[in-house]
Amino acid sequence: MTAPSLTRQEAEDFLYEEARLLDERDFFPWLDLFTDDAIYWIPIDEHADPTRATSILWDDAQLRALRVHQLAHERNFAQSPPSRTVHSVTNVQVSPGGADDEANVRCNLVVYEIRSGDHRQLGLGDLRPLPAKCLYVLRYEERWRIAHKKVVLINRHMPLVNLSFLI
Amino acid sequence: MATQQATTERGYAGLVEITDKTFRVSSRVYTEQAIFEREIAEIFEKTWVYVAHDSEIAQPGDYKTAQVGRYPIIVTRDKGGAVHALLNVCRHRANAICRENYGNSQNFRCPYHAWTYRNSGELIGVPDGGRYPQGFSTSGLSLIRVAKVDSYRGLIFASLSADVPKLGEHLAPVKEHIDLWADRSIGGEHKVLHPHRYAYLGNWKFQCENGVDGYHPGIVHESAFSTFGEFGIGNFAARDLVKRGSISRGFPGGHSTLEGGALDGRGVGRGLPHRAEEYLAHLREVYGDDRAQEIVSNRHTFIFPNVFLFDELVRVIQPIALEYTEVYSHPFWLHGVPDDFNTRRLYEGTRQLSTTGMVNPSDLEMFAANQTGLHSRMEWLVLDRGMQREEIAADGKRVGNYSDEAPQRSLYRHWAQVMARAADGGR
Ligand code: FES
Ligand SMILES: [Fe+2]
Repeated sequence: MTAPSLTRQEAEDFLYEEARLLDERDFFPWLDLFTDDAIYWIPIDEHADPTRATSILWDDAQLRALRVHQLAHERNFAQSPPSRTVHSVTNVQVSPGGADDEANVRCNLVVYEIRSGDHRQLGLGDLRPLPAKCLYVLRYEERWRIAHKKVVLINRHMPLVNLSFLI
Repeated sequence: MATQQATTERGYAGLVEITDKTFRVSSRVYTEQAIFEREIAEIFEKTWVYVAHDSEIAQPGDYKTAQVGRYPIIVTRDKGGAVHALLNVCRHRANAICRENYGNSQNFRCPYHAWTYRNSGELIGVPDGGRYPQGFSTSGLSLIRVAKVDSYRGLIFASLSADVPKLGEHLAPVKEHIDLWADRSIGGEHKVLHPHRYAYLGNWKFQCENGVDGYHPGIVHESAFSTFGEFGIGNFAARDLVKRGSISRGFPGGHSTLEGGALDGRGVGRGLPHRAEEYLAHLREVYGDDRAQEIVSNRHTFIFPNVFLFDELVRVIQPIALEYTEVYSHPFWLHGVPDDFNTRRLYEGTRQLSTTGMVNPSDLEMFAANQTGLHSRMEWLVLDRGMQREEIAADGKRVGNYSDEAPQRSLYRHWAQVMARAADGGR
């Protein structure tokens, strides 16, 4: 299939929509943004082969679905009370993809996260920024979808606390 | 009644109160700064602690930095293959000489005034050395050695005090379980990968207690297990474990295990059943049926005070502050199995036990909630579960069912001994 070329504005619209779904905790439609074979990866070594190196997150379709089902579960204690997030997307750049129906999109992302609940308790009430560089491969399958999402956190080598929300 | 002498031998031993029916731990062990500092000094800086796996520094020149108690150290492999544990501290004016987590280098050059050391510790270069007074000698200025370093089945331990039993003696109570873990690799040892690091807002001992706590999984991890169930993945019904005879063990020395049993080959890449079968067949060939079954059984082994051996990873506990703990979670690669099987194990380990995982973050949430509750100074925590019903062997090993608190009791029995010994002035 030949894809229409992706403009920066279209890429931005796509990423903003993903951010909105995540921030509004509308997770099932978020799953539909991905192609069936997509991998969502949060590496520690961004140049490593994720099949052979430690990752922070490395999800295929099944694991993304598991995660979203767990987020909907009432006794998910790492998310009770739940996280509130703001996903801020900037610095969007589009370049040709590796295949005719693909486009590469690079952006910066800062996710701000805070747990609600009794803010005086440990683990709740801390506002945490997570800055990252993101690399997407979007593929045109009737509409643009995420064929690969890689989030390179700048503090990826640091001890991270409770990343049980979606980045 | 408590006397004013809070730090007498009785004072520390009295933080763990044991009768034939009760086992109570004082909330002070999690909340008092002075006790935390004493733990660091007496447990982490005077007894054996895990620092690295052989495979992390596999090649000559490889090194890894680590921390023992408060001491920054470097674990190196010299060109002859020998392992050294050295303080990461320049003998000139105490700069940290190495700033990386991992690397390969024959020497370390201090960034401050460029004193340079071989990776085996000797000082081999002092710029403009002529300015030092006559008789100045570099020979007494090697990097300071950690008093003891030794390894067993690839696990490297170090002790800042020379006054410790031999490593073999320290590990003896859990040796059999370390062997079962290490024997999962066939014809070689595991390859331990660089860690995923996470942290939690709570005392370091929560992680020690939790990794061998069979009482909590069905409750804390209900959302994970029921989701796995919906998707037809594995059998995680933790409550069933008690019924099917899974056990927990507490050993002298503070070590412990939590043993789930066969669990359909849990921990051996169950997402690739054909590979799991091949692997089991291979193990049977090498070790015989019974031992093969033991080897692939689900088992968490805790080696006091800071390392867990899990099915998919090695978990290292690093106390940082009274209420803040870092954990380094190292997946490992089995020797003698196809890559796709190891990749599957890696995937499953990340899914469960990383800080984005479906299982682990809920534990960390419990630790923060636990620490929060302890701010109340409620006096005693109850660790009686399974007492009077556990089996006590002649060697002091205690065996309970999966949900008993035998492992936690063994932790605190040993903890009280070490802490009391310290207060006694015994070093
Ligand atoms: S402190 Fe290292 S050379 Fe001066
Ligand atoms: Fe747990």
